Amino acid sequence: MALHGLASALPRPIGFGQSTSLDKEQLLAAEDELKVLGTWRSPFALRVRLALNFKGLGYEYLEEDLDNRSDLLLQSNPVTKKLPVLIHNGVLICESLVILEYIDEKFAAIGPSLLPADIYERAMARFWATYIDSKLVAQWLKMFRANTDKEKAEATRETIEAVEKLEGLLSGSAEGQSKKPFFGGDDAGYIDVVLAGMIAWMQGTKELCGVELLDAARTPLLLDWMERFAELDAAKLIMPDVGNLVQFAKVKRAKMMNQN
Amino acid sequence: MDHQQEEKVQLFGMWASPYVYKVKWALSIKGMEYEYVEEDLGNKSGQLLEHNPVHKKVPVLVYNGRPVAESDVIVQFIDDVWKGQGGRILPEDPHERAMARFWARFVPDKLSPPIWKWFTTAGGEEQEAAREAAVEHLRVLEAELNLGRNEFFGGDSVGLVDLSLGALAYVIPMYEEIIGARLITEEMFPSLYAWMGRFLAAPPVKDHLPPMEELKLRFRAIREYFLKNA
Repeated sequence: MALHGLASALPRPIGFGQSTSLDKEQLLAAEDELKVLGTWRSPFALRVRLALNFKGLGYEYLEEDLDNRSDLLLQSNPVTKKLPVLIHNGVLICESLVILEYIDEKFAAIGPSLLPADIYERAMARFWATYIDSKLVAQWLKMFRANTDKEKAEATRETIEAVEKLEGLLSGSAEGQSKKPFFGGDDAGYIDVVLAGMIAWMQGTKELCGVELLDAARTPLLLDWMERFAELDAAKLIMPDVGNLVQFAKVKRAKMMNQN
Repeated sequence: MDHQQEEKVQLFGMWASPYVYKVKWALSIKGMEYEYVEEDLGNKSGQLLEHNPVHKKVPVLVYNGRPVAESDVIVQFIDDVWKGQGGRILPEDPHERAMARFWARFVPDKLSPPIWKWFTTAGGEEQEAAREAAVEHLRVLEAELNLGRNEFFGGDSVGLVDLSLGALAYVIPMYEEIIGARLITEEMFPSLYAWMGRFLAAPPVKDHLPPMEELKLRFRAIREYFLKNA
């Protein structure tokens, strides 16, 4: 899938994590050109930016206007035409979870690892990442876009169930382990980054869908985790504003309904 | 001490599940022995429910008492655990690994749904639309995955993408026979068509295929069910 001859200007990385000092590790990253194509509200693009920030990798972030897609995007991802796309020295990687594993493996020598070293724990991390996408994200979208009460009720039930399972994961009750500050343990890792893409969307659910996904009684650990995660250096500057997200989603949904 | 003697591997499965076969092929690539437990999905065992409480599905691999669920996760786990043993399921290079993972997702996300829709819909406009969608994605596969001199998507041996596509090699011909229409012909998809034959004959696969006559009966019953309840 490599797109040869992709013209690109000299990189002027503006992403968080771009260092100015010149120690060996960062020199490695400075020779690499990393670009991320995404939108500010995409949970999937956010994952990629978080991962790069965690690793301390500099990159150029390019905000895409989906109503007016850039040539770069159209050339980059002919297969799924979706965002995000990571472009590393002209080489293209698509699909957020694929990109995350690529970043972790390609830049294994730089910064912390996203995935656990232990093989079994790594399988667990992949399992929960798939779960987040196939259960939480997919059902959330169904709930948000539901046309009938019945559809909405079912999707809501499934979404809440997924949220509760993730709360259970933090409490350690699912695995028989003790409570931990992050899904990755003492430090944030793969699952944290994968779920973090949905934080603002989950926080906006009450206003968007009239559904209380998060509350102090049922999901205290997730609420703590969200606060803790948002304060991390890697996350601070790039988490989208919930109000803006909600506003965007309302406008988008109204547009879609007017089209039907 | 012999590495294999320290390991206990169990696979919980069901004879008709393509995902279970994906795991069997992966274990075969590594030359691993294991205990196979056939599940009655209408009456799931306590062990299965204990090992996969989240999805309650097969396949589940239990490695030294620790369960792993979701076939894609299991296959990568197998490749990691027995890294130096048998064939490589994922390539070494990070970019090639990313490509393999991307195309492995293409099958369940893009390709399988319209194929299933085509198979479970009565003849007519809706079925034709599903068939066209499937063909469009098959065209993408045929074009993008340039096999070139390679026998398999994984190179000269079966890899992750082959495993992901794998079951379609026997499922599609079965669907075609039952429906009485073709989806993949040699003319339309020369690379894929040739790959299908090679895959079914590949060493890790050929002795680990489902009982075809029984499967065909099962698929016939499934199609009838969907047509009746449409």
